[in-house]
Amino acid sequence: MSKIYKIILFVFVLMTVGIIGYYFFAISRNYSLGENGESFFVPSPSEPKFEIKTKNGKVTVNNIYKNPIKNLSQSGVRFLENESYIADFYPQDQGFLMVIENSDVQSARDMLEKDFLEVLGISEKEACKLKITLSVPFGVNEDLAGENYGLSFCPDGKKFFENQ
Amino acid sequence: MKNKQKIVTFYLFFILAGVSLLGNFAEAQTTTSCESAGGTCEIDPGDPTGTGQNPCPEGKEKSSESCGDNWVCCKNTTGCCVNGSNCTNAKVASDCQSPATFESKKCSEIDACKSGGSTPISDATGGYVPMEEIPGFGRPGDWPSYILSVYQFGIWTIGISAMLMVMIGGYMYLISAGNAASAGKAKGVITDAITGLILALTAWLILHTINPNLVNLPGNLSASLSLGTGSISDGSGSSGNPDSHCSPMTTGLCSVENLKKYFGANAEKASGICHAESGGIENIPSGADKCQPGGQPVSFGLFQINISANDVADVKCVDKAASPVYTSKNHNCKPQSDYEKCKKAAQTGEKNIQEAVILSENGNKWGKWGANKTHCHF
Repeated sequence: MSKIYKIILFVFVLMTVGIIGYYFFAISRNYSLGENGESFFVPSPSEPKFEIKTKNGKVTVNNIYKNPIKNLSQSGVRFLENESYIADFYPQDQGFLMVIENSDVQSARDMLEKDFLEVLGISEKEACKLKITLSVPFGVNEDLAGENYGLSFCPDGKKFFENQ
Repeated sequence: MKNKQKIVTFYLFFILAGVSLLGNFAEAQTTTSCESAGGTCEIDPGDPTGTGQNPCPEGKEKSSESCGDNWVCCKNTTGCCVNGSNCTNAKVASDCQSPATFESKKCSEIDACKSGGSTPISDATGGYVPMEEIPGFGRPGDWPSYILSVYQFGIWTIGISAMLMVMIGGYMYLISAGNAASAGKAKGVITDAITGLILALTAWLILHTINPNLVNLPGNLSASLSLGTGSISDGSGSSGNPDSHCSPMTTGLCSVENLKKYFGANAEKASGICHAESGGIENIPSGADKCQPGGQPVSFGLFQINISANDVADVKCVDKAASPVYTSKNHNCKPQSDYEKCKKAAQTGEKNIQEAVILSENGNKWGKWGANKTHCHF
């Protein structure tokens, strides 16, 4: 009987050590814990590039954590911002958030897409593999709000206006 | 020896429990009597000039309720009625509270709020807002989330208690000094603790095997257990409403996953509203809601909270951020003393979401948002 208890105790201690070890490993590898306890990779600012995993394969991009405009909640980072648009990256789901802030939405979108490719150092084809949410807030254009338009050059990209 | 162990263990628990209970009780004593009367405890600046000046912040006045040494109880002179509701025309002492009973009233019961110029913001008549946080799980927005948070808190408590009992058992084994009876009892304590832990973990494992959502964060569970008050997506990408043009988000602070812990089953609607209002950008100022003639924005953040008309979670902003209130009809307003403070609060994701929870009555009423009227139709 006492043998069973010893085994249980041993397993318990082993599990505890294992869990603590995992957390130390995660920290040393720049992993963070998400809202649901799942781990996700946060790129180190010292690396020149990092990989983004998508359902269509990996995409290697310039390290936007190197010179961030702003560090955000959930280990997110702002890497593009001016009076016409904002672009953020969130490592938890490897997704990009972009919003247009200029009432000349089409010009702002063109500029944003050009700068996005340039800053990340990727082609249009690679950009289309990424998880992107491109939106127009209600305060900028009431008719366009609430939808994800994606990148205009991608197959799933939507036009702002029908006559485009 | 056996009795000594019992006495030592009893005293250890007694001291630990006593210290924690006394700490909580002391804290409750300093805040409850004042807060239950609708006030807040502020540091007492004294009266250095001898002029009998009001020791409370602007818009508040000293009240007789006790907050303890060097603290003063302050109550709003105008505005605050029941459960965070607001009415700028109401005077708390005479309108919101009946002098005889000090019973708070709702804005809808106060004549000053019914007449023109008043801004009843929320009477908090619907929904469920826990008065206290569940440690580590915040304030769940609905009943299923609450049950699940309590359950998860229970699992953590079992784990921590089991660890504590193993330590106590180990200590008892250590001091048994070869006494077979004491050693046996110590082993018993360790065995019981581990057995309890295994039972709890097995229960968790069974639930996880049936449906992982049952043991995930409260929001997921509330989605699984919702009694039909919310709307879960049917795959249309707009919270099941075919007229809605507000698609829920999957990235950032306004992702459905993140908002579940605030809005429970209404997270998809909340995500759609956030998407339309801000595109999920945490600190974005409004491109349209601006005080004239200065041009300073008055709406900020994920849910574009209007700081001239609303507080931002625990930050008081009504009349302090911008005045008069910016509305769709009145754009003439001026930033006030706490404009920057309120702007910063509204640009903080967590506080912005918390205020949206209050204003939307836990995600059930979205009529206050412009994007809902033209786009989301929730």
